[in-house]
Amino acid sequence: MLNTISLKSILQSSLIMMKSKKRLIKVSSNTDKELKNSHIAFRDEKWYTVGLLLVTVTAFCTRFYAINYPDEVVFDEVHFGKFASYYLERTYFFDLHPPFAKLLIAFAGFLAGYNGEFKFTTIGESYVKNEVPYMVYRSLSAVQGSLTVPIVYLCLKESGYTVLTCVFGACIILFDGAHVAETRLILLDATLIFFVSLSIYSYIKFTKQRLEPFSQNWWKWLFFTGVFLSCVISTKYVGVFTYLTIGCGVLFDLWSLLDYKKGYSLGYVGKHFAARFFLLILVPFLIYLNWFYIHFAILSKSGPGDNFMSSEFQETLGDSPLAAFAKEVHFNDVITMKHKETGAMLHSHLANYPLRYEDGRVSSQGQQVTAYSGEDPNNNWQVISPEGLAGVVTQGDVIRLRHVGTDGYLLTHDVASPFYPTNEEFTVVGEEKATQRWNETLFRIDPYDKKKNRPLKSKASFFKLIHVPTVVAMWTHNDQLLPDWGFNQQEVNGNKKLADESNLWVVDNIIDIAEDDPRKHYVPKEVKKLPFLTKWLELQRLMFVQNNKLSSDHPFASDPISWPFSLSGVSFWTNSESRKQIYFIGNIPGWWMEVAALGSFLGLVFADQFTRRRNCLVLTNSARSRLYYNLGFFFIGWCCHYLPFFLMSRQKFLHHYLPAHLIAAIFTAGFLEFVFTDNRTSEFKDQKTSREPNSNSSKPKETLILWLTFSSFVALLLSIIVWSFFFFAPLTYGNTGLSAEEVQQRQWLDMKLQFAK
Amino acid sequence: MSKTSLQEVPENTTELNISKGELRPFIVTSPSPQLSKSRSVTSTKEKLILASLFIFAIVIRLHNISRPDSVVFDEVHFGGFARKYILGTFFMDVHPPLAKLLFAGVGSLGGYDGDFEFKKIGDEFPENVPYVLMRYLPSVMGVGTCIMLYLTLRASGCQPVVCALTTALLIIENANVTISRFILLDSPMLFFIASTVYSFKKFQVQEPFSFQWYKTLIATGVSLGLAASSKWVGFFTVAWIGLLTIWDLWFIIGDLTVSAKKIVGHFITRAIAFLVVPTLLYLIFFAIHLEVLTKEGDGGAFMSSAFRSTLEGNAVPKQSLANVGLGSLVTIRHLNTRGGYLHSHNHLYEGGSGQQQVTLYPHIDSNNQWIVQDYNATEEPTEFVPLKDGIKIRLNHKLTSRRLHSHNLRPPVTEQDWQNEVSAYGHEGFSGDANDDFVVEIAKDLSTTEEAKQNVRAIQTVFRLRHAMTGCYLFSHEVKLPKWAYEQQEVTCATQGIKPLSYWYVETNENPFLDKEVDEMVSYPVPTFFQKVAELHARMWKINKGLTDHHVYESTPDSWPFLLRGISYWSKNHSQVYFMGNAVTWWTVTASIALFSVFLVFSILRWQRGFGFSVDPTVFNFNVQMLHYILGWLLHYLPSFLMARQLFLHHYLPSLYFGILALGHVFEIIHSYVFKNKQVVSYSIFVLFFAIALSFFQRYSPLIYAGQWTKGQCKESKILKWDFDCNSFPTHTSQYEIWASPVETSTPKEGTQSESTVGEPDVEKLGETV
Repeated sequence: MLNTISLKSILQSSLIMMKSKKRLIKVSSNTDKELKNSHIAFRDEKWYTVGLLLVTVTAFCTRFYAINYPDEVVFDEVHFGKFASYYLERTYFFDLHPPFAKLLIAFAGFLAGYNGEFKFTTIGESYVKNEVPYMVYRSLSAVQGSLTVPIVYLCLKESGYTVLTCVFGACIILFDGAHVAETRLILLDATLIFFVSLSIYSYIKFTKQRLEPFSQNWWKWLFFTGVFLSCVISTKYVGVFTYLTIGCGVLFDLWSLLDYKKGYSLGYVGKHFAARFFLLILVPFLIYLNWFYIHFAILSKSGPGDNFMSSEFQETLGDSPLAAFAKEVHFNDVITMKHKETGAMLHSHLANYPLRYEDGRVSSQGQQVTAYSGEDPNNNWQVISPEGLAGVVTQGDVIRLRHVGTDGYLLTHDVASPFYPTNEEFTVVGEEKATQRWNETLFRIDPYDKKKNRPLKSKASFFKLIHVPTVVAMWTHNDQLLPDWGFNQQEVNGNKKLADESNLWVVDNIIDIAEDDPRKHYVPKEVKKLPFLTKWLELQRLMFVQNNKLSSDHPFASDPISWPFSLSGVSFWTNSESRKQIYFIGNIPGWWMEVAALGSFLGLVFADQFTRRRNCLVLTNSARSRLYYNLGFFFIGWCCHYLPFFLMSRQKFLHHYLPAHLIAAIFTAGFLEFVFTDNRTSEFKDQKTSREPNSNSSKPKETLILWLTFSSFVALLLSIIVWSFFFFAPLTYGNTGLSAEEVQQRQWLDMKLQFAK
Repeated sequence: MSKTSLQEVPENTTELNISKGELRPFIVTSPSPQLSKSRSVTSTKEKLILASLFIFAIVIRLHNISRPDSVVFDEVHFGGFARKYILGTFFMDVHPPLAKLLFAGVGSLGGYDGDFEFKKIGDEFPENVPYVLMRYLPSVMGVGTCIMLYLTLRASGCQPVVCALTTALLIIENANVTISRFILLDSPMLFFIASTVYSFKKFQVQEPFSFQWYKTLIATGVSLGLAASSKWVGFFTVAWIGLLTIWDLWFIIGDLTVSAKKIVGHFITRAIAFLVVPTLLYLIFFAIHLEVLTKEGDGGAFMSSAFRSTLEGNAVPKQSLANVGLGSLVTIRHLNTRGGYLHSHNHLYEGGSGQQQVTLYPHIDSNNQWIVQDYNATEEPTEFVPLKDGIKIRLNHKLTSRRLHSHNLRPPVTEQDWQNEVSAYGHEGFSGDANDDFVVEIAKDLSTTEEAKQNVRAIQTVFRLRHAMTGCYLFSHEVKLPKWAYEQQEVTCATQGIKPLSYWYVETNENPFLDKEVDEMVSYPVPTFFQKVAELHARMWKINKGLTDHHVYESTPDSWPFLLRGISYWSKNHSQVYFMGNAVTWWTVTASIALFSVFLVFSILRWQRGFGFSVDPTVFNFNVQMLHYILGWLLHYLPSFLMARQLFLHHYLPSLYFGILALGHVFEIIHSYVFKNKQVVSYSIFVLFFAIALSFFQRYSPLIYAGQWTKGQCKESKILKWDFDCNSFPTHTSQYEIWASPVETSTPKEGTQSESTVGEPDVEKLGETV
């Protein structure tokens, strides 16, 4: 219900927008006089506010629409949700990205009062069942994603573009499937993109203060540029490219200050340089370090990231709460085994399977093996090494399990289980039989994290128990309990689908550890200290080393050359029952418009340079300064965020293009207005326009925009973008199932969608 | 070689012709006719200098060329390739063919019949191998490079005395001498690069659209083509010419005395000369390459079956039945690696399930044969049933009667979560289980005919095999299994593997219901010349990228300008060939480039602060030429940093050549500007510099000519980490006579060949799977 209402509101707001535009077009298509008035309207502060409100509200609608769906782990939420949980549990982990955005997510979880119990292990796990405040997490992303849109709007406004241009630029981001999908899930990119846009915005603000250097506003915006830049680079290292962009601007700036025609002394230029160096490099670096300081301060307990670090580093981490209870399992220990999903214990008792089941199938009539949730001495099993070893059981070992109560051995064989004709029956056989059927009593401990040769620890090490000769995993379920002959306990059988998450077991308890056994008493680890900078340097070095190792094949990795065209995307999440899926892909018409604009810009610059070399001055000076300084800056920004990817050898994904896409959106809108502005010098004007009196002197920009064509063209482009957004919305939000035909209709370019058949 | 006796030739006319335009001044680009003349060798005196330099170069480069009389360093490869050209057997190499063809040509002129195999470094040449003649080729080209350097510097505005000095420095540059004495590609390539630079510099001073202009333009294009056809490094030279052409055109466009029509002419003629001509030449040499290598050889394993089917004596099946059906006896090939056929043999995996191995095997073998069966193999088919898209089948290995099988265990080498082991499983009488079932999914966009998109047809249909139980796809990648599986290529079942590695096709096909006489047959389509060239390049590119193993004497690009380390080329009988440069020249080049860069940044900053550039024509020409040559140095040097393959010091030689050209202009500015009025000073600097360089050359020459040296001299000469082995030299040279006397030769030689002297990796070996 909620979904449909918010969808309607989006529709309505976009309709209003279309209408308002239509009205503008109507206005502009009237007489010359009115035409002039409409220009003024387009630059009226009032209209700017209306436009801003409009895009902001719509942005919130698109980002928050159906944010609760799916209520399952989607794509890389696996990573970033998990990291938030580690922060909340304060257990040490290792990741390639700097901590800022992850801390933000964790902070959201902290505010929601979450304890971080859920570890986001696989895509598709339910949030509702695990009571995760995923709405809070996702809202954090969505708020940042939504706010990016008005920032883009303001960037254009501050660059001196008309309301129409600002709205158009904002709408390219607003109605973009890639931006929407990426900024409403628990991912880092919403934060990244938000701060990229803020950096650009504050830098534009800063350059507008250039006539009043060292004024209060000048310092303010320089400071903000630095702060936001540091947030970008503290989120992901692609922030280096944002630095590069701003760096190009700053260098150009300093270069023109150095120009002798300006008449500044070297000392004065030095002051400019020092201010920028201090606020754009030094202060951001300190902020960057600060996040690491918080990172280390929070993660004070040992955790999954320990093994990456040096032993000196590991000694600074306290034991995790688990460590107090986790004990190494030795051979010949008597243990209880708990099924992870249902919480029941592996159990057996002196009762046999009935000869015949209700459906007529026959059993082996062996002793029952069940799973039972209550405490019971019959839950006790002894771990025995087939080779007669003693000492620590390591993960990956082959073991036999002796049922203590009935003195028999756990065995499974090619006999169908009570409920599942496809699964193998588990039973317990006596000593003599167990020796005869030796092989069938062998089970391998298959560790969940695939890291073999580590000691098996109670409570901590999850594993699958794989039957060695027939390769099935011990499994139980509680959706259907055994009938009276099985005392309504859970059926245990051998599952052929080894990959199922529900095959996981853990050693729950080690019974009766002797008093003199060192395992009996828990001795907390002594925590040492290391200077912060030493810890930071170690981690920083490690992050770079690991980053360079990320060069293996990934099915959804793509080549940068395909990005601007949005040729193929990434499947984030699928649900085959309802034929729903989330597919990460840009708004294809929108992306292609950007490519067209970027290409045309290059052509225009080339043509301008070429004609000027030949003494033909076609463009006015003000147009040229707009073309090179304003649009040129955005173009360089796009290049800086895109081209370096060609030199990288690590895995690359489409979402790496989003910052570049954002800057290209600002560029595209600005460029469109530029194209529809009459920028010609008087020499090159055609007769009709040049007869106008004030064509070249006063207010050149405002009088020279070709309003009618410009606004209708923008309306046309916008409607294509909006249409395409709604057309692909089922793939963006994933809340509508599609028939095979509908899926095929949306399979543009190189996209490979699920359920196309 | 006395330089002081020289008198100055006519003054250079490098004066800039600046015209006042309507809006801004511009440079008139058309050079004055005298300029070209003043920059050519015309006077008898200068011809004499050139002749004496020529003789000097011959002496240095050809001295003792027959020594060592055994295979040195990469002669292993390039001698070997010459042999294969002569025998006509197909081989694979990462370099384009021109230089190798030249060696083959010279070899066959000298009567080399391809008996000698150039197997390993240190193999002695038998009598009938014209290795001396073959070594003459790079040596003579090395001499040519020196002469080119002289002429190039003259063309870019240096005084004869400066040209002579710089040329003399190149003649005694140890690295250039060493590399041009052996059957290696670098010397021909350097010669072609040098002639490109020369013709381009000549071209720049010609009056546009004159006969000389066209002549030098075409010469530049031809030399470019030859350079690129010798080694891919030549493409960096293409980039250099390209950038300089854009630079030139920029000024031509700005020159308002040039008409628009002429500008178009400038564009088109350059495009033809610098792009079309080199491309044509490059293709022609590949055509010759393919024309000569007609027989199947050890390079065949790299190529697709379609390519191989064009080679004489190929083992590719000629024809097979088109339609594949149930009961067909097939061989299945992996499309996108050269691993070969889906293969199994009666050996078990060590580890994993311990079941029978399934691999890829490149050679034809009866263990490659599989019988296609219905997944529900209860009844034998009674008629021909085609393999439709989506059919569920089992593949029964004919010789062992085990079925292709997969299950949730990690493969032997690739222990990734998304990879499953593939084995052959089952025994007589066992009807198989669901893990044997595979679903055929035809890749419609890759299958060539309409029919092949519906049903599986041999050769024409490309398909994937999806494991019915787990949904993974039969997959293979260039990962070798351990020794117990004979290092064949790993086959796995991957859920997330990239698509191209899960494509397969049927090569041979027999079916009990079809008759080879009656039913339709198919064979590989014959690839066109361009398809062949494209495939060759795809392989060359991939192999080049894959040359990442570490080599004892490899070095990183950042060490090259400082000459931190050399390469041991050959070591035998107490003498060595150790590749290293003349440190005097080498370091001066690096220092000049660094100093000029600092100077450049400084002058640009000064310019921004209102101090103009010097308008002195000598200084102006110095700046322009330095920029050109340093750009060349950068373009040949910087790409090395992006390359992941193993790199050697000799990869710096093209850069060094540009560096030496820049060094020439540094000498020129010293001579004609700094000490213009006191040229005694510059002359004495030059003499002193040459003397130091010569003494360095002389001191290290035993390492070039495999000459006699003593342990003491050797140890004294180790300035940096130059790792030539001093222990192989005797304490006194008289020891050589004792070793040489017949009595002593009967005693076992000690340390005949240093273990570490190995050449670049053998490309052929990389491709061998078995």
